[in-house]
Amino acid sequence: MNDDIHTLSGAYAVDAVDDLERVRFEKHLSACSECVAEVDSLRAAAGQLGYLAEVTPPARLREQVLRDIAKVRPLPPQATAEASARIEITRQSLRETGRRPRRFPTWLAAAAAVIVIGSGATAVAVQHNNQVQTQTVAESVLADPNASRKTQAFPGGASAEVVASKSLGKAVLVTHGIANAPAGKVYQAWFQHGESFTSAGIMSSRADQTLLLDGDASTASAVGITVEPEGGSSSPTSAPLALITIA
Amino acid sequence: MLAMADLRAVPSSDDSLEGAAPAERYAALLRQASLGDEGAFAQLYDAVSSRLYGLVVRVIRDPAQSEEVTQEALLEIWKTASRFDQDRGSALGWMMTIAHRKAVDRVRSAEASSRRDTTYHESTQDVDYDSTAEAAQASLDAERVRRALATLTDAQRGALELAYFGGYTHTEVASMLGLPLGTAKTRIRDGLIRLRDTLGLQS
Repeated sequence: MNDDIHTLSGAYAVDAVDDLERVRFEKHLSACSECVAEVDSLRAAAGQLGYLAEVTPPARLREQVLRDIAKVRPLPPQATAEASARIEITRQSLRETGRRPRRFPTWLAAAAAVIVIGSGATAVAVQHNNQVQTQTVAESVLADPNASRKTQAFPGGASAEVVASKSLGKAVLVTHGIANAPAGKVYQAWFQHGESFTSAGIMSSRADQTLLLDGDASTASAVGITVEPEGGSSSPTSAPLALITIA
Repeated sequence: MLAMADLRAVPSSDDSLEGAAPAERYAALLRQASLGDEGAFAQLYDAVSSRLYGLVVRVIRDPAQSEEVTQEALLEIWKTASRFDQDRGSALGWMMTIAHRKAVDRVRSAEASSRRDTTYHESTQDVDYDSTAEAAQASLDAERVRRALATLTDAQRGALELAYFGGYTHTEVASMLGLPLGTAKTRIRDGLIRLRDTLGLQS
């Protein structure tokens, strides 16, 4: 266990971390059950501090809340939700490259630090599922010798590559070593057309994945990736972690 | 607590929860809510809204924004009730965690200046209890927590309060207190551990 990251448990339990620390610590949590237990217990302790702050809310809040919930469907348990996410994935490594990270705009440099180093798997393994047709399209795009291939590299070895096939009008996003999105968030891909962005799909929580992007790639100028609330957004709500030109 | 429930002649599904300990009752209400039971959620609201709102007000300070954020937190609780995992903590703790995160997100995304410029009249936010029994219980609980908090060192308590009630990151806390980076993080953790152990919560 990395002692330094471990000591972040208290600050994390009371939300006293910034976004980068949160992502790093959640990555650590996924591999450290000891820290999970510690965070749970420290959160329980912090929750008790609430006894010192009780205030009865205005009566109208009750009406508002009860009116709100009548219009909102409760989510199913986590596992079901993940299974139903409409993502077609194959697992594939990136080609070995000697590409150097480019210079990023400052917001991107900050965001890129979020992407934590991943495994260096090199084997190509196609995950079998029912989406045979989709996989075939993704594979066709990847196999197109005329497809444009652009890679965004991040410090630490993570990368995102967009392979766009003009002839097929489709693009595929291949990521490698990407850290999980923060809890309750997902990575969402976008096609950029001029100033506007249209959703191209929500990424799964895998570090390495190949995602066939929804929509026509032949007219898009770039593919962006943002962090969005679970379930995705209809338009980006945060600055892109990556913006990869394909035109 | 089971004995109390057993005394009821004809326990209906709703009323049988009345005799249960709060932790059990909240968990059961959350579970019912996750199945779309709005009545159960209304009961849950009545039981915990002052805790959630009080915490949010403490962090955000502005009552109008606090109301909005509490509303968001409650909606999130309704939506994600099925994800509450009783093995990982109490239902109330889970709800408080959601409300706290929402409050912190709000103060960090809003212009921090507006919060710090707002004068907060704590005296106008006095607790308004419907039931004297509840009030008595609440003040006992508050007293218990206050005593536990008093076992922390001043340094731990100061850092923890700025983090939890102030909504500041440990880095901000360190710079506010003129501490070397990393020191506030340690104080927050040590303080929470002592609080947890004093309150007898399992680790």
